[in-house]
Amino acid sequence: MDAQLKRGLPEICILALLSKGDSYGYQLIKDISQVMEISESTLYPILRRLEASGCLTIYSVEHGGRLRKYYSITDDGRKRIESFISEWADVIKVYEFIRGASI
Amino acid sequence: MTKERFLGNLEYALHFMPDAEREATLNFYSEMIDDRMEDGLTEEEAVDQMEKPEEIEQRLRRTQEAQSDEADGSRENKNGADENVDKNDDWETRSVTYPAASISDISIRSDNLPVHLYRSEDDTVRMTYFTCAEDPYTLTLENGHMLLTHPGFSARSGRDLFESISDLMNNLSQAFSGTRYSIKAGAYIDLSVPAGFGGAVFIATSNARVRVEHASCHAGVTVRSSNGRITVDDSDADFFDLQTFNARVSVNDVKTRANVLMRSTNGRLEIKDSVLFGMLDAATSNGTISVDGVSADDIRLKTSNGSIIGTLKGSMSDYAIESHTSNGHNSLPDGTQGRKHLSAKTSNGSIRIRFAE
Repeated sequence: MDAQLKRGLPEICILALLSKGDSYGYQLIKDISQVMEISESTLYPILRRLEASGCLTIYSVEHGGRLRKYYSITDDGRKRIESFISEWADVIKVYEFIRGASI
Repeated sequence: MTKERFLGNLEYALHFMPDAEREATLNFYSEMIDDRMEDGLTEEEAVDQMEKPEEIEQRLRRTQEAQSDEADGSRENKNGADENVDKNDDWETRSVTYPAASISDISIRSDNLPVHLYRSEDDTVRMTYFTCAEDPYTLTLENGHMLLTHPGFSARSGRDLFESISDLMNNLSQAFSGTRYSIKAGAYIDLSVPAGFGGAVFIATSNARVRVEHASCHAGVTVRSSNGRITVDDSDADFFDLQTFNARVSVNDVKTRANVLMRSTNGRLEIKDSVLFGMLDAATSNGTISVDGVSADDIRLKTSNGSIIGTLKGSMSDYAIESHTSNGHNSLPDGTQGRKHLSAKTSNGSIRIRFAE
């Protein structure tokens, strides 16, 4: 569960960014830096995984004489966010319970 | 370094990848550098912000391995070798075997890994245990003292987001399963010792269960736990000293040359079909004490809020009996004479002890 979560959180953060609009690699790294540092070599496998699991699609746009890849969230991707949030409500509840009991 | 040079080095480093995947990865990094330059950085500055090609290679390799491990599912622990390590997610299984004659005592300090002690089929002591970076266990053998322990929770530092999240998850798994660091379901500590093993065994856990089964120890077996249940079945030893706070202690089919000591605070105590050539001393505060088919010359049963029930071997006239309850039925007399000693005391509960030849 632990290792899964470590990978899982950045994935959800990427999806959350994309839910506000399509974006590209460098922009994602800049935007996500508000909440966590992530390097290209972390981001890249995450994007590949999200694409493979149907949570996002990729399209290329010509930009300044080159192609830039844009990432776009799918309905499945939005569902991932929703289920994360609904699970997290339970997590917070238990977290508060534990904090309350251990203080 | 120029972008071209960087991508050339990266291409070389990523040789482990299939061509198409390497091509896509190189495009990704190329774009990352272009975007930085568009943002106002020079080519050199943009390339400087990239990780080194070797670092990228290592990280991408690890990611690939982790994913293919997941696809494989967890692998079985291989037994037989003197020492082997089996990677399974972040957890590793280690198995260590020593000749029993080289060991004078064995101590296990586990927080949340359940401990299982049983009889080995040969003359070796074997310990199999799970360990991971977050809950590292270390095994040492010095001058005959075998010790499996770990540094505890407080050693961790530098809590970034992920660590505090993983703390949270640890606490969660504790709340759900009664174990704090057993993120990995099914992690355990196994200890097997040969029949008639002469070394003392000490087992301490915080929250995990301890089971002793089919074990035969010439010295004593001592178990301490805070919240873990203790079970002893089909075993013999010089003595058993079994103490926990918030869980049950169960003893079945046991022989001792000396005492069986059973302690809990909020748990039930039960002992069945056992022959003790010493004392049975069982005490809890909030729990029933159950004895069934037990033979011992000195039996002391004490609880505050719970009943004392069961069957003892022999007839009532064999025993000098002291018994008392403040609130409940009492089937025993108080102050009889006999060769054996029986003491049964509770405050709020019944005493129902029968005798059978």
